[in-house]
Parts: sequence; C-alpha cells; structure tokens
Amino acid sequence: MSYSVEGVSRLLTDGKESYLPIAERAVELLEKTARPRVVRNRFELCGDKIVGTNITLFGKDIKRHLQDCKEVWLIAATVGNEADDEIKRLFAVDLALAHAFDTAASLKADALCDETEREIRAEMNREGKTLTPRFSCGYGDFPLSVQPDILFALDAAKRAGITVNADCTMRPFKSVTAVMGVCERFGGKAFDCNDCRFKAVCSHKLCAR
Amino acid sequence: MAKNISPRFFLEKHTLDGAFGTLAIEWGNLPAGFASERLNRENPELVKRIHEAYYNAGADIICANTFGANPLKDGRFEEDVKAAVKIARQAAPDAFIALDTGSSGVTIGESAEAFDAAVKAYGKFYAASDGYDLILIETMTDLKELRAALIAAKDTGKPVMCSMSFEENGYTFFGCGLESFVLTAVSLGASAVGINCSLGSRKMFPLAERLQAVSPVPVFVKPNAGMPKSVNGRTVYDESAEEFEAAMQKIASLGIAMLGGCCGTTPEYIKRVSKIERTCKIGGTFGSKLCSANNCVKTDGSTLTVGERINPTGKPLLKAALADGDIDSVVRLGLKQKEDGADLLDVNVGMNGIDETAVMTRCVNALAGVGLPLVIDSSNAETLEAALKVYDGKALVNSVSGKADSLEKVLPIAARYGAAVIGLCLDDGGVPSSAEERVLIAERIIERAVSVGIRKEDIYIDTLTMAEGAGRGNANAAVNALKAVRKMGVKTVLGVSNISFGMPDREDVNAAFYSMCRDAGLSLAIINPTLTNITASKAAYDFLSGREGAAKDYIAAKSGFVKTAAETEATDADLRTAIISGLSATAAKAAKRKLDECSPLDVAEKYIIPALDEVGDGYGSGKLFLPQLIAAADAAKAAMDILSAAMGGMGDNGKRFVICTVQGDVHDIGKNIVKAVVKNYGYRVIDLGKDVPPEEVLAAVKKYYPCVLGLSALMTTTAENMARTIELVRRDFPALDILVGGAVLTPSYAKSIGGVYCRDANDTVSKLKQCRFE
Repeated sequence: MSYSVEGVSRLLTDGKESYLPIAERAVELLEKTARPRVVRNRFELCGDKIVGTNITLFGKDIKRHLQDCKEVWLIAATVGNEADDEIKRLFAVDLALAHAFDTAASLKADALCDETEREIRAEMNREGKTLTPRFSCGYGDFPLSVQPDILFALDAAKRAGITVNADCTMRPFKSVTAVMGVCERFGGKAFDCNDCRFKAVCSHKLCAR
Repeated sequence: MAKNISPRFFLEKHTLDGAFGTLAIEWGNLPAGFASERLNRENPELVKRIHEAYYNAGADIICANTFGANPLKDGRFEEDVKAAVKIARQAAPDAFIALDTGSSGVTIGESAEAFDAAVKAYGKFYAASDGYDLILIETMTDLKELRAALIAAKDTGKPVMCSMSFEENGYTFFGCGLESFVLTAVSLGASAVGINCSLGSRKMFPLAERLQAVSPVPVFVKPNAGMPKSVNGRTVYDESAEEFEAAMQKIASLGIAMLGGCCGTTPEYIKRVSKIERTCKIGGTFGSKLCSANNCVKTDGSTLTVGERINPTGKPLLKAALADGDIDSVVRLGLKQKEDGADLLDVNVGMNGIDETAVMTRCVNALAGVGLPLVIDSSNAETLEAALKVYDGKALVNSVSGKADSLEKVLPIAARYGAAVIGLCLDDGGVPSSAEERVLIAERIIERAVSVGIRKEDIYIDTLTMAEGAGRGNANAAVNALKAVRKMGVKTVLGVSNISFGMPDREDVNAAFYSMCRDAGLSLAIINPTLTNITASKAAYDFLSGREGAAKDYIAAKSGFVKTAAETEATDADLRTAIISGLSATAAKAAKRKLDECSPLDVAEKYIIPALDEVGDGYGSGKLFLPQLIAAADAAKAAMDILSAAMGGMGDNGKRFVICTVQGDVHDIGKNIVKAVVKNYGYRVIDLGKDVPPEEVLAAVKKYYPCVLGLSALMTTTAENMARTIELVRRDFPALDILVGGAVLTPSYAKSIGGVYCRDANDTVSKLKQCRFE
C-alpha cells in the first residue's frame, strides 16, 4: 500500500475501498503535522558484525539476505514526534480519525523508507553495485533486540530525534529502521514476506509490498 | 584534584573545545558511527592528542570523552568515565575539565519509577569519578532526560552547564521549546544554559539571540561547522573556519562569553573562537513563569485563568471515569478548557477508591498532549512528588499550607523538582477570618519556602475565597489579604467560584468577584473557563483596561461565542441513522430528543444498542469497515454521555471488563478501539492503560472480580508477557474468562496460553456475550 488517500483507504478496508473521506482527512492532517526525518550511513560488514558499531546480525534470515555483501546501509526514518502528540490528542476527541491518522502515519514512515531506498539504490547503481531490498528488525528471525544498536550507530537520537526503550520500541512511534546490503552482484535470495514465520497471521500488511 | 569553580566563573570569558568525534574519525581513521567512548580504553593516546590539540588552540574548558558513555545505554560507563577524566586532566592540567553528558538515545518511560531509575543512573555516572571540575549536559532533545540528568547533577554539588539541540523553529525534535528549556533548566539549578549541535553558526544566531533575551543565567553556544554533507562516504560540514569565526563574532556581540564548537569543528575553528573578544551580559530575568514542554507562560502580567474542571469533587461522571482509568475524559476536559481560554490547567484526582498517585501520573502524561502548563493539585505529598517526576516542564504545586507538617513535606519536593508552589493562608487553627491574620500565615510560608531554596517569584499565595453567603466580609478579607501579599513580592491565586456558594445565580456573583480580584492584582484565577459569564467578564474587563488592541479582542471574543453556538447546531436525524453514520453531535442531539419520550435505559436498549448491533453485523459481513465501526462507537458514546448526564452517572450492566496492554508494550490503539466499542454495550470497562506489569493486572482482577480480563499485545516479544500475565492470574483465578487480542496473536497461540482469541473489537463484543462474569 502506498502512502496516499487511496493507500490509507485500502489499508483501512482490507483493500476493498479506494476512497474514504476519513482517509482524506487523516492524510491532510498528517501533512500538516508530520516533520519527517531520515538518517542513513554506510558501513563495512565483517562476518556478522557491522564494523565500528556494536551491531551483530543475529539470525539465519538476515545472514541469507546479506549473503555476498561486504557493506551495508543502515537507515532510520521517522514521521516525527508531532504526529505522536496528534494521535494522543485525537484519541480523546475522535477515535475514528485517530485510527485513520495512525494508519496514515505508518504508511508515511514506510514511504520515507521507500524513497530513501530508491535514492541509495540509484547511488549504488552508479557505483556499479547492487543493493538488497531493505530488512528490518522483527522480519523473520532477526530480533528486535538489535534495534537500539542500529539507532546508536546512526546517532539517530541526535540526528533525527529517534530514541528507543528497554523493550526496543522506538519513539516517535512512527519510526522505522532498516538494513540494506551492498554487493557486486547479488547471488542470494532476498527475504520476502513468504519467508516470514508470521506470514499466516501478520496483520501489519506493511511488509506485503 | 578537582578545581574550585567560583560563583563568577560563568560570567567570565571561556572557550569550550570543539568536536571530538570529527577528529577521532579523521586522526584514528575510524568509521562513521564509531562508539568513541571505547577509545578511552582502546586508544587513550588518541584521546589525549585530541584534548591537547584543543587546549593548545585556546580552549580552557575541555570536555572529557564521555559524551557517548551514557549510563542509560552502556554497561561499562563507569570505567569510561574514570579513564576519560584522567586522560583529559593529563592532557590539559590547567584547563577546567567538564564531565560531558550526551543524550542517551534511550526513551525514558512515563512512570515515576522510570524517572527515578534514570536519575539514579545519572547519579552513578557523575559519581564514577571525582576528578572533574564541572558538569556539561549537552545535545539533549528530550526535556525528560535533561531533567533527570540535571537532578542527578544537582546532587553532586558541582556546577552544571546544560544545552539542548534546537531546530531552526526553536523546538527540539521532541517538541521542547527554547523558553521552556531555559525555565526548566534554571529552576533545576543550571548555572549556565546553552544551545549546541544541529545547526551551523550562522543559523544559530537567531536562536542565540532568543536564548540570550530570556536567560537569567549566563549563556553558551556551541554550533556545528555548518550543515553536514556526505562526500565519498565521509560527513563534511559546509562552514569554513573563517565563516565560523565571523558568525561567532556576531553571537559574542550579543553578550555571550562562553563559546565553543560542535560537530565538524576542529582546533583551527576553536583557535579563532578563542581570540574573539567578548563580555558576558545577562539578558533575561528570573520573573514568574510556568511551562509545559512547549508552552511557557508568564504569570506577572494580567490575571491568568487556571481551568478548575479536572477535579472529581461533585462530578459523578468524572469520578466514574477516573475510577475506570478513562483518562481520555480528562484529556477532553483539558482540551475543552484550553479552547475556552484557560492558560493553565489544575489537575486534581483526589477521591476514594483509586490509587491517586497512579491516576495522577497517567493524567499528567496524557495532558502533555493539551500543551498547557499544569497546576498539580493534591493533598498527598507522595502524589505531588510522583507527578513532578513525570511532568516535563515547570509545574505549580497546589498546595502547601501554614501547617508544620505540610511545610515540612511539600516545600522540599517543590524545590527538588524545580516547581513553583501555592501557599494557602491557613494553618492548624483553620482559616483566619481577618485579612491580617492570613497575611501573617503567608509571611511564614514565604519565609520557609525561601529557606529551602524556592525563589519568591515562584511562590503563589492563595488568600482563600470563603463563601460570602456564609459570612459577610469574606470577599473583602480575601481581596484585602491579596493586596497586602502582593507587596511582599510574591504572586497570588484565588479559587473564584467558592465566593457564591449557597447563593442563587452563582455565575453572576462569580463574575463580579472575578472583576474585584483582577482589580486587586490577582495573578491566577482558578475558575471554570467554560462558563460564559466569567469569559464575558474577562473579555469586558480586558476591554475596559485600556490595553491596546483590547477592543478588537473583545469583539472577536464575542463573535466567537456566537459562532460556537451556531456550530453546535447539528442536523436533524434520528438516533439510529446518526449512530450508523457516525455523527457524534447529531447522535447527542437525537438522544436528547428521545429523552422526552422515554427513559435513558429505554433509549439505550431500544435505539443505541440495536444501531450498534446493526453496525457490528455490517462490519462482520464485510459491508462496513473498521473506520465506520469506530465512528459509530464514538457517536453512540456521545449519545450515551447524554443519557449518563440525565441519570447522574450511567448504570452499567453489572459486568466488569478489565482491560490493558501487557507489560513491555506501549501500543494501545487496538485496546482503545475495543474499549470504545464494548463500553457502549453497557459493560463497565476498567482500563489499566499500557505497559502494565502482571502483578498490577492480578491486583486489578482481585479488586474488580467478578469480571472478564482483556489483554492486548502487538509485538512478538510482548506476546510472551501476555502468557506470563495469564499464568500469574490463573493461579488465583483458574476459571476466569480471559480474552486476548493483538496483531501477532493467532487463535491457536491464544488457546495455548489459556486465552480466548478476539479478532477485533466486534469479535470481542460477541465473545464477551458468552462470558460468565461470575
């Protein structure tokens, strides 16, 4: 689903409706509220460690995803704290709009990542290299516990205002981190939703790109 | 050996060092993102060389390499701090060594306990070495973290300078405003305040100017060397040393004598900065101010309005909401009062049968979304303290009295958390009838408050409004005491509406008394801003005050009243259609009309519930979608509120549904939707909130039993906490119905942990209908 009135409408109606007035209101309000920010950095990869950081890439899925890669890009994107505040306020006064706004904000965070991924892919292509699709904590068996170290390595608190709590939940809520591998030519198999152990029950739908 | 820092230190010219990471990456050939605190252990020689370079360039305050060694994220910080301070001292024996505290990147939770844990961690950080001379807290974006660090720093007795990173609009990423930062930091004992990072020196000028204008303490500025750009995988900054020097010269001319550099600056930049001539000027005054994280209010101008409606006394609906953890009702009251012109909000949740401290902290957190500074109102010192821990800003404590016990307990709490305080003119002998005696009590309170470190500007004396109907002269006593107290250099506050107690047409009496108080110079009026008489009186008083622009404001205010009235006129539609269409105002109006025909219970049973069922069926069969279901629930709620008001509190169907998001999970949208939908079916929903430990869930089940328990979890990691919660509750309540829901759950997983799976809010209603409640 893309970040648009249609995308939000579809996500709210299990894909059945392409236009809901409340989706339009939510997107309009989000455009006024959001202060999107993205940070990204390129790192060398050595085995399952990202050089210079405390990050170890746990899990079979990410290893397979980054097979043949000698470098990685880390990105963190956020819609901004103002959107969190707006959700808090809307919850008290208009639950339906709060829900639509929340959905729109999730899509927007994802759209920020899409855009960044496209930019980086173009840069890598210019270098004659290939970029894997992005991979986030929580996909497959890549644990959420890596989240803090990704944010610390990106200095995301200082550069984008993204912090993380002991349970690995980010603030602002509508934030995403991701890892993308850089290789000469990708011979492995990129992870997709079909590989995910939550495939049957996942209701995020966001990974169903 | 630490150096002694004289009180005049911050008024002098000082040059702070420049970027550490920039040099470490370059000289140590390290990758970007390298955790530079590791160098204290792995490459102390490099650390020393960097300090020496800045010292030789003219910096006289050297920041130990502890910026990244944050106690909230790093287990080895004590080792790092010790080593870093030692290296800095060796490199620059004549310089002042600052223990550098950077933002952790860790979210500090919303509870008082989480705040305590952060203060404790920072306490350990500062205690890890005694070799440094002062504390520097910098690059903060979250006011909560800054407050925790400042409180811990205050306990060391070392002088503290602190700064935050602002964007060009004057707010941090977390929405903390520049004025709120200064007020909060200074109230927590910062000797100097500053801005650093995020912007280059040129773009920082307007912020430096604003900071200098409001700060009552010396200011420091540490910009980046421009904005970062990525060149061949390296981050470079776009201001040259010459450009940086020129911009810093301009900043210095504001009267800012402490300058340094942040990201991208090198010894070359600092060398130039150190040569800039400058003299410190203090641009702002302490004054009387209160703030939330994003809203700073001056209380020494004309009378401000403190909204009084968040107080359960005499309000059965609010009482019921607080008892059930319905914090959204409190937020709505806050938003409404803000809309009606409140400048501050009084928050009082004192009532029997609830954990006042827990409810107060939830309210304080939720009311941050309203944005007005809060007046924390409780007679319980523990509640006051917990609220001050979680409150981001400078709050006003309501209240301390002249009683020995109160003075002893409340004043130190206000002082520790940098709050202002209301002093009530009563003591063990009760409320004196004469103005003179009240003034004597005020004097005692002021003296004690000042002795524990509270500034006079932060003391607000309540000369106490007693009902005029209960004793002739009560109005005059309050007003005369107020006039006398004002001369002592403190602020004043009165609860206006008490004056009319027991009299007819109370609003008229209140409006007249309000004008009397304003005339006497009242600082804060605690009133119901929603009452039109008071609002009209306020606007009229402003108009007559002769203030420039007041006539225009008066006309605007008046046309505002008319407009609001017109807007609340909803279209005519029957209750069923209104609910199905999700029209809240229309549903409320239709419910009101129905009350002429039948009883509130009949309206609910004959119209509201069937309409909800219809929506539920439509949703179940895929004809309607979640947004419509939620909007219908909201509209039904608006109708139910009308019925509740008519009955003085709505009866429930006797069935209690205890609900929460489990420990470790802060996602509560699903839980909130379930709550909204289920409530309309007459269930009493007790909402424990989010991130709730298993023990608290068990305690709630014990308290509200018989009941059904509903648990929500959105993450795979917290689904495990759900299992733990169920296990704990099951030990005491093996037969309890437990409904579970959330994105990562499946019917089979739910069953395996002993819960009944609910797909969504609608499904929850049907499952609830099958529960035993016995």
